[in-house]
Amino acid sequence: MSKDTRNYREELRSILNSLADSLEHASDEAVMSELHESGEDPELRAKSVRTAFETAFKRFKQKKLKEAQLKYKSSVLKIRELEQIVPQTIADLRVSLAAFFNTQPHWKTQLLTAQCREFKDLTDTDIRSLVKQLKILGAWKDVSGNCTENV
Amino acid sequence: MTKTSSRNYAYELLDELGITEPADIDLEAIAEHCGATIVYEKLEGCEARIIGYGDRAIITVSSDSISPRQRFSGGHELGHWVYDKGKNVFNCKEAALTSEWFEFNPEQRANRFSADLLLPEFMFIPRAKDMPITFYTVERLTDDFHTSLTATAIRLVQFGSFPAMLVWHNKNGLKRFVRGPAVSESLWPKKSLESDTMAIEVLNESGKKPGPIDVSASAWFDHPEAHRYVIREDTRRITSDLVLTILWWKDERQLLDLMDEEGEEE
Repeated sequence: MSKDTRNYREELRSILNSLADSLEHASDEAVMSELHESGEDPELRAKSVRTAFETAFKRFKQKKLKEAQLKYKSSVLKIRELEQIVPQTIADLRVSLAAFFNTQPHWKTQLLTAQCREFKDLTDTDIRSLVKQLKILGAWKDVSGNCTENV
Repeated sequence: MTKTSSRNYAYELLDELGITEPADIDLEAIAEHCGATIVYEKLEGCEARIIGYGDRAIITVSSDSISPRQRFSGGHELGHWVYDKGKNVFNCKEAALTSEWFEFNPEQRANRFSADLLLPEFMFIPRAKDMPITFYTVERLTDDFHTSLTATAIRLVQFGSFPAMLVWHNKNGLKRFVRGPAVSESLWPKKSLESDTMAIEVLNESGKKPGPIDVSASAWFDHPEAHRYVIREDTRRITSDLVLTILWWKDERQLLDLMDEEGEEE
């Protein structure tokens, strides 16, 4: 058999399975005696195996959490990139936002009710931030009718 | 995932993500898992805001706030997202984040969700077990959970091992209070602070050394027999005009006597 055709992963799996079978069928006394012969402390060995199992189990259980952590980093990067799409002056943004509210009146009610102030009282920071986030979410159609992609 | 109580929903989320330790409560990742991305920016007039569209949302949290407050605000907005998706926008002012714990409305539900997510009962109880009900314990727990003093103190009174009450006062008097589950409902704190409380010293910034101290229960309660008992008081200033006091029945005789009284009346 040439080296190229050997499946080392499968061979290793087979060896490990045989070892596991042998351990599973060994009596407690035999396992303890083997540990003592090798000079290992059974308590320490048990603790290290328990920790290994717990770590593997936690890693498995937190797979979705790790995925969400990676996705969060990528979402923030996309948001930062798309922030560059609001280049207008504040005066232009006010006009655009007014036009947006005219075409989508439900947003005006919700935004301004929540903000507890009149449209004319929205600060420059509010205006820029609202437009930016509406664009990023794809809710905003600006005067030219373009809608930015979703994050 | 069905949305039952805020507690169940928050715990289902933690379970789904395999989170069993306070250090693993990664709010940004949890929010992202729910379709909401948390960003930190300068905000004017509110602590946090959420704008949602379709199945995506952006939660903006004030970059000027301290980190535990940012976490609580982020959790609060996430509460709106998971319960009120489709309503597009919420701005939450600081008042809503500090005061609306006790009424049934979307703000209250969002506060409860945030507390359940960031200070889950099943992680909190073992860490608070047999700990003194004082700000020393609260501060230790805030280190573990990375949460605000107020939110953690409420949790300690609710889930700590001993009977206690949490009381807020400003210069106008009593603002609100939370009773622990073992405290009799016949006990109501006085509306204004007595001169022999530590709280009035903290409120007036008279420079007295911080507590906890033992005071007569009559300094805090109008109950006719209150003068016979001692309670432990610990107070901290939480805003320029607001102090927070933990009252701990380290000696539980007053509560036991009250239970006997109430039992006889029935």
